[in-house]
Amino acid sequence: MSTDTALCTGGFETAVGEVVLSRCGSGEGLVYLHSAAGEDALLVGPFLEALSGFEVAAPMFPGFAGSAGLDAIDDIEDAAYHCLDLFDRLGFGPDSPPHVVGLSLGGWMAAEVATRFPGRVRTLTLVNAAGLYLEGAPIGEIFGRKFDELADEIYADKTHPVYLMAKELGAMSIKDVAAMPFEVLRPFYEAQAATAKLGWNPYLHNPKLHRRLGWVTAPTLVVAGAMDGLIPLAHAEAYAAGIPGARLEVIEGAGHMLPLERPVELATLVAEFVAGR
Amino acid sequence: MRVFSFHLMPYPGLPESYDGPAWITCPNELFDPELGGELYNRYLDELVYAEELGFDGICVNEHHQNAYGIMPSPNLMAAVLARETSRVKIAVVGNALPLYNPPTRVAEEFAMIDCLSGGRLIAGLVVGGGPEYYSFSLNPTEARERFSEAHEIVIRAWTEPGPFEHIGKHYRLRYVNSWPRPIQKPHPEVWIPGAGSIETVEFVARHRYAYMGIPYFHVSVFERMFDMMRDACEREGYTADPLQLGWLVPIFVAETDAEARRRFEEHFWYFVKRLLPGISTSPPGYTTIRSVENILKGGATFAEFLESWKDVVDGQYAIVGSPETVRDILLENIERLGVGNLLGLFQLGTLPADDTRRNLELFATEVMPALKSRYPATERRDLAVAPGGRS
Repeated sequence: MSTDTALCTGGFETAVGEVVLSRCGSGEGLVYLHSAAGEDALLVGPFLEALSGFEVAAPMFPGFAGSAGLDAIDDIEDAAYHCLDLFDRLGFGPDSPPHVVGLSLGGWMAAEVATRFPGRVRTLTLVNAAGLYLEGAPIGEIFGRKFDELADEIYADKTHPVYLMAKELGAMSIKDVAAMPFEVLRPFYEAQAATAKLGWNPYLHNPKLHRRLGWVTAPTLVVAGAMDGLIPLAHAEAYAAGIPGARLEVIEGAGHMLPLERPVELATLVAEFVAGR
Repeated sequence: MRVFSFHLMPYPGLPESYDGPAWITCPNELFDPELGGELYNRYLDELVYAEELGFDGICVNEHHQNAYGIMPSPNLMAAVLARETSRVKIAVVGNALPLYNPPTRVAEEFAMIDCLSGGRLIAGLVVGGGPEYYSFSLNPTEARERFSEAHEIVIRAWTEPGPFEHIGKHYRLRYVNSWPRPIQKPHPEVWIPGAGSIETVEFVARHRYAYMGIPYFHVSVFERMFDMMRDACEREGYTADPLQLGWLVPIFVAETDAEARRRFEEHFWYFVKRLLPGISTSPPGYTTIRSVENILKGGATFAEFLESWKDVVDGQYAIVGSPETVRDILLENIERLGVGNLLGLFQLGTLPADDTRRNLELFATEVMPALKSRYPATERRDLAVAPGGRS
């Protein structure tokens, strides 16, 4: 299957309902799984388009950006099966498994798929991935936080437009927020609810995942932003240590939202890793 | 009209130096156990005193890990009250069903209280406050499902012969067989408190329970809430009885308006500025998205954001004044809201014991008789009611 190079977004039928899917490029299949922030094509487009040589598919998980189907998903196991269903429908079946890149929550999902269905992932790139619990290195709180405080933790680039927008929202009073058109706030509430469904407790991890990492057969690249204030570097190190043959790349001066902060650098890293495997 | 004395059992001892939330993360080093012991006993005395003064009932509620209300187990308090009173209804408003696993625990403890009290329990069933989903690390996206499933288990445990099996999504119980069973048949009166979420109102209307409006909003928010409840009952094919609606509001009576404000105001501000912060925490997925919008709009009028005494009076966040003033405002609002249960908070924040007792006495002697004579009904006319008719 090939698509136009230009990024386009539309509805895509899955077993749980219609999800929003962005696609671009041509070449080997690559699936990008987004974070709890629900970064859509508008935000992550520069990264997706910089992934040259791939047919890129970036689905929005149920509950995010209007994707349906959250009622049929209770936990991370259901999420993994949903990913598998997506791969099949995208034409990335067992004979042509996709390269999978996941950020944070999406990284956790990618790791779940790669441990449960090792043959279904061609290469695995985990970017500031959630999914593990490490004593002494907890993942920061994302629920019930003020926008601006959370933005301070996840963005190293304090000039990024999304960072600046979060700072502005955080400075608003409850009355100003209540006066905003609800449609502006709605995606945020829905994204948080979808994330809570998967990661409220156990908090953004699966206690069984760590000991299953040895099942991964895909060549794996683990990427961490050295300045990520949400997921400590120890998590990337644990993934790299647990997944056979995994390579660890730490990007100096970068934060949590690597595909937004360093789109070209990250895309180049992925492409080089895939080419050199 | 039925008049209840509701006690939150607040913690009045937060130090000046602490300006954080009273919920979830409020350090428990700030709790002084000696003071706590005095407070529990004093607050129980204040509730028992309400029976002596002629109230119809007394209310306790459940909150966890906070300074707003130091009553994580209202059932313990209700058990004491069952022994220390003999006439009043004891309303536990309520037990947060999703926090009990398995929820048959609620069926058991409520049945114990009903037996102990000779059938005087009002069984409040609640989803639990937003902060409690943090305090219990319980998934808020499951709150409504768990509540609804647990509710079914509790009612069946009271009304169906056991043992029976319940196999649901969240609870899989192979032997449900509650010993004891409640005295009241088919089961104790059920109250559900709510802050305006549509799914709660629809649930209450469907089961013909009573809906208690959660306080601390501008009175117009209550109007909207109770209208929503009446509409929901109409959609279920019946007209709501006023005794299906309850208005919870702080009340303070003194000899004159000026004296009332002078004695009450600082305690009210302690309550709204020190104990409310954090209470409105709404974890993700705790309500449906359409309710988020509703609650967000009401949230702007939440008492925590009050700035002046004039706003308190205008929005009727608390009814404060001479007996005449309090009586007039209450009568006007009871009429306007169409409620048959008045749930007064006669102690609030740091209000001391002597002021609380004097408040209860003045209310009971100078205000309550007028309310009771204007609205004499104390029993639900149940279901066959002329449209628009109010007791």
